[in-house]
Amino acid sequence: MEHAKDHLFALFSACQLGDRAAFAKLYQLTAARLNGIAYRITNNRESANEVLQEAFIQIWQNKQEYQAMKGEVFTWLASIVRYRAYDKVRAEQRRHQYDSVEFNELDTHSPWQKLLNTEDQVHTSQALEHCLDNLEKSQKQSILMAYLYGYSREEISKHFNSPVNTIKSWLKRGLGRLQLCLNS
Amino acid sequence: MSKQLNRYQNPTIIEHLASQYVIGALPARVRARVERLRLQNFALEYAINDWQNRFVSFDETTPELDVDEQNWQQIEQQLGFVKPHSATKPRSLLSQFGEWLTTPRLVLTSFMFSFVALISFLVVNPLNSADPLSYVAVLENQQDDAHLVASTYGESKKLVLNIVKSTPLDQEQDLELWVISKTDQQARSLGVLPQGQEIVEQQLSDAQWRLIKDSHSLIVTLEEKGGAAIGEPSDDVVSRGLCVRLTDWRQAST
Repeated sequence: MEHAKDHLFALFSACQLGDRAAFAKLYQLTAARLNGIAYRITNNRESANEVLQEAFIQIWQNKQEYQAMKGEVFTWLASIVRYRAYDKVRAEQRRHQYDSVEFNELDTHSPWQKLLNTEDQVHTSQALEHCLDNLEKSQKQSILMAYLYGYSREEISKHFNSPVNTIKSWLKRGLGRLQLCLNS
Repeated sequence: MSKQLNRYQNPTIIEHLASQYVIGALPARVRARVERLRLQNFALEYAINDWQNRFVSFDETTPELDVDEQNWQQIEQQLGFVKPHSATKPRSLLSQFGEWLTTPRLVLTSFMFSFVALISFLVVNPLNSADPLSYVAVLENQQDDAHLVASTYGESKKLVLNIVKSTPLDQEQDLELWVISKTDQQARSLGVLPQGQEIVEQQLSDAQWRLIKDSHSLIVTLEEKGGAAIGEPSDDVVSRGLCVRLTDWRQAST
């Protein structure tokens, strides 16, 4: 894992010097994973591919913004993909097709595993998982619905049949408690 | 410092904005504002990175999904790494010519046409001056240099080619002249250009004359010795130029 991270860092450093071959290699190594993230949020293969394209264009154009002190290269890449995917689902006003599926927390029955039809297990960092488990169920679910699948506050509100202000409160308090837990 | 800016120095607000931004819960308008703010607010940028690092394990374990094979090509094209690929269905020569003929080129071509055609008409014209010049085309190469001036004369139905700039050829190569039709945009041959001649005079058949009357433009292509075997021009276009009906030009210039 560390070797892979070092490799990505070396590639991205070359990208920052304008090396297009390194950029192509970076794409080869990360595109499938990043496409999975885009798909997780857009729930549409075509949209996911569009998001991936937009993200890689932004990655090249803004490559000088990345600094190692801010985090791993993959974290930076994945964040750009997620933000473009959030923008896409907001712009298209499209909602996931599994609205009627019971949101079942982050476990081996999580919706993305069903969507992507894979047997992969979901492994979050232990600290994050532990802290998420310490939240109230509604808080945890709201945070995960937003982060993992790009649900807006309004959509979460609809899902829980609760006012938007309540959802805002769940998110705010949940994230606050999560931060305290992760910092402890 | 304004009250608005002070607001974004407040750690509680920064933390709130950063966390909500990272989980994608902010409305689009606020998201856009945060994206601008983070570029100039170090504390906000730091907090965003912190939250991204906390949540990234979700992304690292998200299953991979195969990418559309054309995705990378499109990224390269949009970033200008490569020239755009031609569409699956080959574009017509007329449409390619339309893209090539940008406004500056049109102006330049028009100017050159006027100048060279006049010279051609007054000096080079080997025919009887009573035979009116009907159509003319100035063909330019990729460097926008005049390569050839083609003139046709209505009464004698003759084509006169004035080779302005010679093109180096291998022994196994020839240049071929083509007419691009206005009607169906197809290219039809007017024959191989004889090598080593500055002025070529060719009698046109009735069929060839009809091609000239229906011409949009002329192109010269590089072909194998003897000309294109399949009756279609190769992709090696040496020069091209709009075919202008001289009566129109005369009317336009008076």
